[in-house]
Amino acid sequence: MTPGRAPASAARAGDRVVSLVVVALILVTGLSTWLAEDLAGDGAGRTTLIMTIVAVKLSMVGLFFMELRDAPRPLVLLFHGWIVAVWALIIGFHLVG
Amino acid sequence: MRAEGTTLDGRGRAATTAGAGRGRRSGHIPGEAGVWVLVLGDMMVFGVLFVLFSQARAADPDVFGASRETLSLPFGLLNTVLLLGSSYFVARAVRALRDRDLGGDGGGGRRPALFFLAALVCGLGFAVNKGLEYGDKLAHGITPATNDFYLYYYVLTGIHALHLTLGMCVLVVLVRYTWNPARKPKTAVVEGCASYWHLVDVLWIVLFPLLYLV
Repeated sequence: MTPGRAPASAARAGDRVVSLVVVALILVTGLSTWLAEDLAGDGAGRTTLIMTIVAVKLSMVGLFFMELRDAPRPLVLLFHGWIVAVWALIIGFHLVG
Repeated sequence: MRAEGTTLDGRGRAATTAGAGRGRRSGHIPGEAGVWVLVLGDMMVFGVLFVLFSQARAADPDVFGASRETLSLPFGLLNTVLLLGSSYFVARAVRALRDRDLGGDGGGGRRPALFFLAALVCGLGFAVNKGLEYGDKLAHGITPATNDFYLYYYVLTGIHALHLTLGMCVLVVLVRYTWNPARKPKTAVVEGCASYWHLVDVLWIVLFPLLYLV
C-alpha cells in the first residue's frame, strides 16, 4: 500500500458520512415541518417533539459539520449545554404560556 | 497547506506535532480558540433573544399564534434547506483541503474553492429569499410596529441576516484563499472561518421552528 492511500480512503469514508448527515438533516427538517402542520392543536407535546428534533439537528451539525467529535470535551459540553438550555427554556416558556 | 507545527492524522484531521497522539487524546479545536469564544458568545446572545421571544409569546399567545400563521412556511423551509446545504458544502470544502494536503487530488485542485463557492451560492439564495419574504410582508403593511411578534421577527431575522452577510464575505475570502492549488492555506484559518459559517446555520436551525412552527 502506498503511503497516503489509507488516509485518503478514510477521508472518502468521512465524506460519505458528511453526505449522509446532510440528507438526514434535510429529511428531519421535512419531518418536523410536517409534524407542525399536521399535528392537531398547539399542545406542549407538539412543541416538545419539534424542539427535540431541533436539538438533534443542532447536535448533528456540531458534531459532524463543526467537527466537535474530535474537539476537547469542555468545548463539546459547552456546545451541547447551550442546546439543552435553549431546548428547555423554549419548551418551559411554551408550557407556561 | 497545513501550517508549520501541525500534521494530519489518519482521518485527515489536523493535530499538533508536539507530543505524538496528544492531539487525539486532548482533542482538536477546529480553528483557533478565539473563534470559539466568538461562536459561543454569539450563541449565548441569541440564546437570550430566544428566551425573550419565548417570554413575550407566553405573555400574549393569541397574538403570537395568529401572527405566526401569516408567515410563509415555504420561505422558511427553503431557507433552512439552503443553509443546511451551505454548511454541507463548507464541511466538504474543509475536508477536500485536507485531502489535497494528504496528497490526494481532492477531486481536482480547485475542489475546495468550488465547494466554498457552492456554499456562497446557497447563502446568496437565502439572502434573496429573505429579501422576497421581507418585501412580501412590507407590501402587506406588516412592519416591526405591527405587533410584538413582528418586532421580534424583524429583529431576530435581521440580526441573523447581518451574520449571514458577514459569513458570505468570509466565504468570498475563502474562495479566493483556496482557489490557487499551489497556495498553502493555514488549516486554523480555514477551520475558524468554517466554524463561523456553521454558526449561521446553527442559529437558523433554532429560528426557523421558533418563528414558523411552534
